Amino acid sequence: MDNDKKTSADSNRSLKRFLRNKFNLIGGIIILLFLLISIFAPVISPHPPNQVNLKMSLQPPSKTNFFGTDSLGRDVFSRIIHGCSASLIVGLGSVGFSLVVGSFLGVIAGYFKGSIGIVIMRFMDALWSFPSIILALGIAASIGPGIKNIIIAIGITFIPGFARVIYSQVLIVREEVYIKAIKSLGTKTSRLIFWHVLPNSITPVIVYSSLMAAQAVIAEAGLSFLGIGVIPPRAAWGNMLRDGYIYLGVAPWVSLFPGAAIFLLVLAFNFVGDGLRDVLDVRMTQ
Amino acid sequence: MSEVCLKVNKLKTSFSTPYGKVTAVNGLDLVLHRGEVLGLVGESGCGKSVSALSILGLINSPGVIESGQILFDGKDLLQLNNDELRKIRGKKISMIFQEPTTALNPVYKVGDQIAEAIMLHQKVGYKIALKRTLELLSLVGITSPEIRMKSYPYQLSGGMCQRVMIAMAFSCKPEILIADEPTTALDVTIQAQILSIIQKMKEIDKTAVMLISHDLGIISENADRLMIMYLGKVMETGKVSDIFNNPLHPYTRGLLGSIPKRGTHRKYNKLISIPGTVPSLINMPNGCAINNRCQYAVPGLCNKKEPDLIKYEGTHYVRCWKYQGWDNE
Repeated sequence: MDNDKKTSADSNRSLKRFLRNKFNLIGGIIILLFLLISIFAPVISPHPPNQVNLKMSLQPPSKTNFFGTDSLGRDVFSRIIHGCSASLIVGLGSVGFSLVVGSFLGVIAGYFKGSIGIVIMRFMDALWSFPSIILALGIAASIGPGIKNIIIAIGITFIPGFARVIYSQVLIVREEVYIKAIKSLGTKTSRLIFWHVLPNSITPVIVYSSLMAAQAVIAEAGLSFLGIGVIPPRAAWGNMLRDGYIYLGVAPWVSLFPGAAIFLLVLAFNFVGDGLRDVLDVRMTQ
Repeated sequence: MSEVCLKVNKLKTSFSTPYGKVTAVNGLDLVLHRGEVLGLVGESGCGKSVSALSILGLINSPGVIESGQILFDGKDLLQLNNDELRKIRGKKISMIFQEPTTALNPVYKVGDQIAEAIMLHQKVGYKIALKRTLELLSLVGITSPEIRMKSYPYQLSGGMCQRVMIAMAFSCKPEILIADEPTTALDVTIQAQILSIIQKMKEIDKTAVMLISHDLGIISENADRLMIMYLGKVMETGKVSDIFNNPLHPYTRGLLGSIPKRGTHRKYNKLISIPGTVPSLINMPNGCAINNRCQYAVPGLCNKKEPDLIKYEGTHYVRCWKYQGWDNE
């Protein structure tokens, strides 16, 4: 029981170390805030997000419309609140997708090396060599818009990165004495790979995930801006940027506020990524 | 002696490197009897560990076992597929490693790792496995095992980790234990404890132990028989008492002479060192492997032809021209 205390103290210490850095704290709070906003969007938004009111079009920020209105008179503040979930779902969903697929491919390639490894990693190189936004554009264009499809499109472009990060780790871990020792016990290869090699290789991938979540938010905004992301009239920050950019000169608030929201979320993910690296880095643990 | 449980014939293991082929084990013959301790001694790089890993089929590419036989339980281990080999590893033949702190998976609790080893080969549930883990941990002399089994490897000392490794190795009552330098990374007091634990566990399960070391002191105290290896070959083998009382091979004499003895004055009893260094395995000398470091080497014979491992008396064998009648050639 002494040890249980120790382990929970360990995780407490990690959390403390994570929060001691102000940037981590800020990043964590922003993400938490956005999470709460997207969960309680219907409750906290002052107006329905898709309520069109042409009389009120392009109104500057005021007491009733905090962030002003867009060309159709929709409340920008309410739309940002409702668009939050799209960004978060795509950010986390596409990272989750590529994390699972990329880690699987990377760990297989790294453990077996040889021809399996060469085939997988050269395929990853080929995928990697496409500019990611163009690739995502192509995939999204071929399978159609919509949240699920953007997650797949962005997720696919991220797979090579994850595969490479974990591949490089597995190359180190597979040579460790304990892997040989576990093999000498007669463990099945599949268990050896996913139960013993993978957990020892995953740390840098977790850090990479939070950085890629930021990239995914940007990519989603980009795809929505280009019109093949979230389907209008559903609010998404990328859509809102596009709605507003024609009126940048007369009504900058229509694009400015969604842009600021994207900026904040991306910044928060990046802060958290740096913090995770500090907490999870073994060399700094001891 | 009692029944044979492992027989290795003409084992040859090599590694291909960019600089050429390295033959780490070159025609190793070995017999292990039930319940005995066989010591394997030699300098670094003489093929001790590679021999051990070859027996368990754990040689990774670029290493390959070129030829030979490893007979265990009436089967040649080299002919078995991976699945069949897996059922022998850990269950019939288990192994402990040199660096105990790096031989345990850092991300799991040690108790769970032992329990995993138990559940691998015995059809028992997690709870029963944990109970057995507890018994094993107290058998290997870990105090308050119920607390220690919840520790992660980094929370334990080297000696503790090695005890855990021993518990894991004996979890399925193996017929053979291969101990690859089990005490090299530990300090002297812990060494003695670890070796006595291995002896004790071995007595309980009647396990044959292959004790690999470069420390002749450890071997003399713990082994029944001894094999001296050099450059992947056996130079001399026999009962420990025979070899220590009557070392035949010049290399064995050199090794024994390089141990400091208590009670002798430094002035009168200089430590012997074997001249030269181990040659590269890529450029092995012609003839006897050690002819370039041997003061008795006969030019024209030792550097031309390799001697065989011949019987000197009883179980005492030696590979040297000196005992093969070099005058006859």
